[in-house]
Amino acid sequence: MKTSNIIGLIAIAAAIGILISMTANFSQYTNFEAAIQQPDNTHQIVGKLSLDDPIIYNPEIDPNSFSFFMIDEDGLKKKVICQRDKPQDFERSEQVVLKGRMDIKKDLFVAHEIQLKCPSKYQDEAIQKGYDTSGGSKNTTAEK
Amino acid sequence: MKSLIQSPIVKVPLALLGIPLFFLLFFLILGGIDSANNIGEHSWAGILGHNLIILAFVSSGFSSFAYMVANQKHQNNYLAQSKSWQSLGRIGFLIHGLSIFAIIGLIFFMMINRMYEYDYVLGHTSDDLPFRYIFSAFWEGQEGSFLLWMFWHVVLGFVLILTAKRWENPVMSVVGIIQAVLTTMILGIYLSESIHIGANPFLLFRDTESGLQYFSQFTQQLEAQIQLQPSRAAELEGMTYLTNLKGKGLNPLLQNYWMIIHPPTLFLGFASTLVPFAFAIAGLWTGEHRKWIRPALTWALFSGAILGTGILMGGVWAYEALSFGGYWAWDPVENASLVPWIILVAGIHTALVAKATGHSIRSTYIFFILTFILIIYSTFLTRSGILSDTSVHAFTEMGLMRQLVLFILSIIIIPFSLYFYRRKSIPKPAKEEGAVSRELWMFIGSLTLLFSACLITYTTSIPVWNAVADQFALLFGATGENPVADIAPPADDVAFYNQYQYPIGIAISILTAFTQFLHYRRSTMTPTQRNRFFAIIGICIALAIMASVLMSSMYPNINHAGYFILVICGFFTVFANLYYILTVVSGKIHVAGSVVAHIGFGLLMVGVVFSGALKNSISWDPKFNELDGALGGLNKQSNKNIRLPKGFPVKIQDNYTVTYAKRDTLYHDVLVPDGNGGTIQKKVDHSQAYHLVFEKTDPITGQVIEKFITKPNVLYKEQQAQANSLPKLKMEAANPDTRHYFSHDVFTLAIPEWAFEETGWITDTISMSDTIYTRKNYAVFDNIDAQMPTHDNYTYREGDIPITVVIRVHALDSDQYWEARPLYYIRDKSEFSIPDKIEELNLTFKVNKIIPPKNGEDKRRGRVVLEFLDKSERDFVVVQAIVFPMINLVWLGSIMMMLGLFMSMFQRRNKKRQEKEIIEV
Repeated sequence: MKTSNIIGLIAIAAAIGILISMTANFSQYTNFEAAIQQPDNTHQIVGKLSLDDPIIYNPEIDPNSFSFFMIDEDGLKKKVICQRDKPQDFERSEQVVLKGRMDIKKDLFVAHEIQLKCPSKYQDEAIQKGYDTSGGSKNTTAEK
Repeated sequence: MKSLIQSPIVKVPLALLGIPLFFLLFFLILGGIDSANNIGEHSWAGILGHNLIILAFVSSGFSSFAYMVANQKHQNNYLAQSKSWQSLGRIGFLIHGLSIFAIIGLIFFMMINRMYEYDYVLGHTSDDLPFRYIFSAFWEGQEGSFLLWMFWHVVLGFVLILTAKRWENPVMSVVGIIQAVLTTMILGIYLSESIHIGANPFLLFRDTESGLQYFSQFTQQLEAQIQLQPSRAAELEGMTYLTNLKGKGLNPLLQNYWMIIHPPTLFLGFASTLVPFAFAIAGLWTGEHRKWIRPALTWALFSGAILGTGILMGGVWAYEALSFGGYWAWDPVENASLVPWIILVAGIHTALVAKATGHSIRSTYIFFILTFILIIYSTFLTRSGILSDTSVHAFTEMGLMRQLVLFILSIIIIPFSLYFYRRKSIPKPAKEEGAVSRELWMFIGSLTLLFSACLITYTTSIPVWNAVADQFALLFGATGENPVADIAPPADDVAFYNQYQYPIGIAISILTAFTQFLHYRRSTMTPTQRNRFFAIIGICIALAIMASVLMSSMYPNINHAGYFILVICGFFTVFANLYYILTVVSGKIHVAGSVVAHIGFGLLMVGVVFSGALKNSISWDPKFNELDGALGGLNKQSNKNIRLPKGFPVKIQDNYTVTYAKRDTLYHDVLVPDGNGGTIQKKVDHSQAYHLVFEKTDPITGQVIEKFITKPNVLYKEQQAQANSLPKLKMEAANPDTRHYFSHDVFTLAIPEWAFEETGWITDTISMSDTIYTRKNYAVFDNIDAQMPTHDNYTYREGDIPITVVIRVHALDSDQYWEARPLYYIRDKSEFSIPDKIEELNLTFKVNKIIPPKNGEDKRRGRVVLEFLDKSERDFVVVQAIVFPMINLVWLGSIMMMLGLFMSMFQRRNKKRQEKEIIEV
């Protein structure tokens, strides 16, 4: 057995070991139901912002408190609070991914990170390229 | 050089240049005659452009083929035939290169002339885009950035034609085929409604889905308007669907000079990795397994320096100009360009080993091939749309998925097939690397780098694993759009990556420190050598520990063992390399490149620990901690915003006081229509800067020991929500401002009040003598007046319990104060409340509830649920301030790494030249 082969084998074994340990640390997307069941774990939940409910960020009261309601993929709606400012263009996000935990007592989800998926550039463009034929009112060709 | 120009090899292609020039002239003349059709479109530009793309595609494929034949002829010793095929290859590449230049020139021409009939121009420029951002607008989109990449390939191809000598044929054959494949990404040929090859940058807006809809709606409305207003018929008929298009413009986040210099550098880095790859393929192809390494190494050093600089610029950009609050976030897009660089550096080290000893030729092949594969993989990740869920700055999806998958698969399969086909013939010294030989430990270092790259790629590729799992499930009969549950990226991704890269950082630091003291081809050490080696290592470790202790005495928060060990390792690298250059090579500059790069790496490690682990937000107020319990350790980054009313000093962390002193409105020049079809220059306000005065006081003496002003700003646009409403400011981007010190930076970001909704009633529960802040003043709950109230809207009735709450509102900057006396009373067991307004301040107070003190508690512990409505003019900013200790070490270390790579490259080139001179003499 040559030295380089031994080193190679050790490296491959170590690589496999570490990759398996990494895989074990990957998480799953879950839902609010699972977050309620396991309040001690961190959950990642994909959902949609509920535009019918209040989206509150008021720096005059607390510049580090932001709250809204999200409907997860199974249709369950929960209040979410996050200790940060409101992300730009939050209302226009198509999809929200939350990372955080459920606070069972207060019945709300406490997120430490919010990721947004914004509408793609082309849909966006259709909304922004508003046009105007008469010099009066502005029409937009918004599409979904 | 001169003889080259006169040689027929160059003359023929120059003559053949006529072809594209003819095209160009033909269409320019055509354009001149009929510059726009009846609906205002300059269709000549699109036709010319698309033809140039096809020409670029055909000529690069042809060039690659001709070079391939030339190489085969040369291998079989048909030298004359090889020569003429080579000329054909050159002609092909020249035509290709000129077509690419012409395409780029044409798109700039279209952008400068704001030809909005073209989707790419409409999507990336706008009427008010300043000229200096035209370049940025060009490479903002996928098509433009592909062209930028191809542009560099062309430039590098020209350099290779002039310098590669006998490697020209096989190397340029690879360059040509890659260029042909890249050209397909912008080919824009539609096979059916949904399947197309490439995204054509010359696509008409009218031919896109939204464009067509817009066009038909416009036409209908125009006709309707003409019928409604016959008096304006002439004027309306003069309008086309282009009249009201103003362009989407460049994303405001990208409107800074980083967007001008970062993409060209990064793409030159991307493009330059093709050269070592092409040399590797050439080596396998020709079977000259040793000789390709020398030129490949020089190019790899160039590539490492440029790609590294590109990545570094991205980090500086993120830190200096974006609101991320950091220079590296392990974002998938950042990782995608870092990983090829890591592999390239591994390849540089094995190439050095291969040149010196003949070992590691196989790994050098693999590393240089892998580097380019990873560049293509990074292209796939960022451009196929697969990352859109996990990355903040991937390109938008353009339907290139199939093509990119095909590209990445063939770029993996073909070179590796060739490698395994040739593997047996690759030479290898009979003797193994010795246990104390430099080549062995350099190889181990390269493997460690490969390891690092694998771990990063594995996590970054989670969306790919999800997609692959779904495809397999579909293959085996599953249904639905997403048959396999998606794996999510790690919940705390930065911590996750750091955790796995930490041991690698330690290993690389140690290897970088001691490997230089080992010798090539040595299998044992004499006792004297061993003693000397361990003495040097011992001294350097001792120095490293001393330096680390010294530094941690300045920053006591570093006492975490893990951080401390990494700092020691970083300093170990620095001292070992300093020792090496001062004693072993005694300051000889010609080997300094590697030493400079290695010292840079050591400093980078130290800087990363301090600026990353000790980065701390100073802009918070311990009053707000409602979430701390629920999030535990995950909550490190929160509590980082603070509201600053104008002109009032607010105490923040670390003995700092910050005052929002004033705001400036900034203007820029834009071209606006003057009403007669021309344009005029006009000053338009587009941003505001906020002056934040920071003062640090000595906690003991109370003296101000440090004072500075930062001016973060925001870009905005005026937006009219409804036809008759007042225009509102819409924030488009917030730009931080950072105060730099030798030992640390203070990063600041500010968002103005108009970016937030107006506030209604604000509720607070306070005890007596507590303070609450209103917009411009502060209010103190002074006392409770149980006397008969004299409130206007109140008349006493028998049995009432009236309580008047006295609120004293103080001015921030003077002794002036006002009093509000909201009234609360209980009548027939119900609560009532009568608000009181301080007219002068437009400030109303209302008592919602009175919570009496518990039994036995001091009367003053009673609390009041108070609401107030502040209608005074708002003027405040919400500020973030973060201290990054030792961040200059990060920049210094990174710059030294790049500088070291450049130095090594020039050393190699000079060495080569010297050697050549010796041979010629």
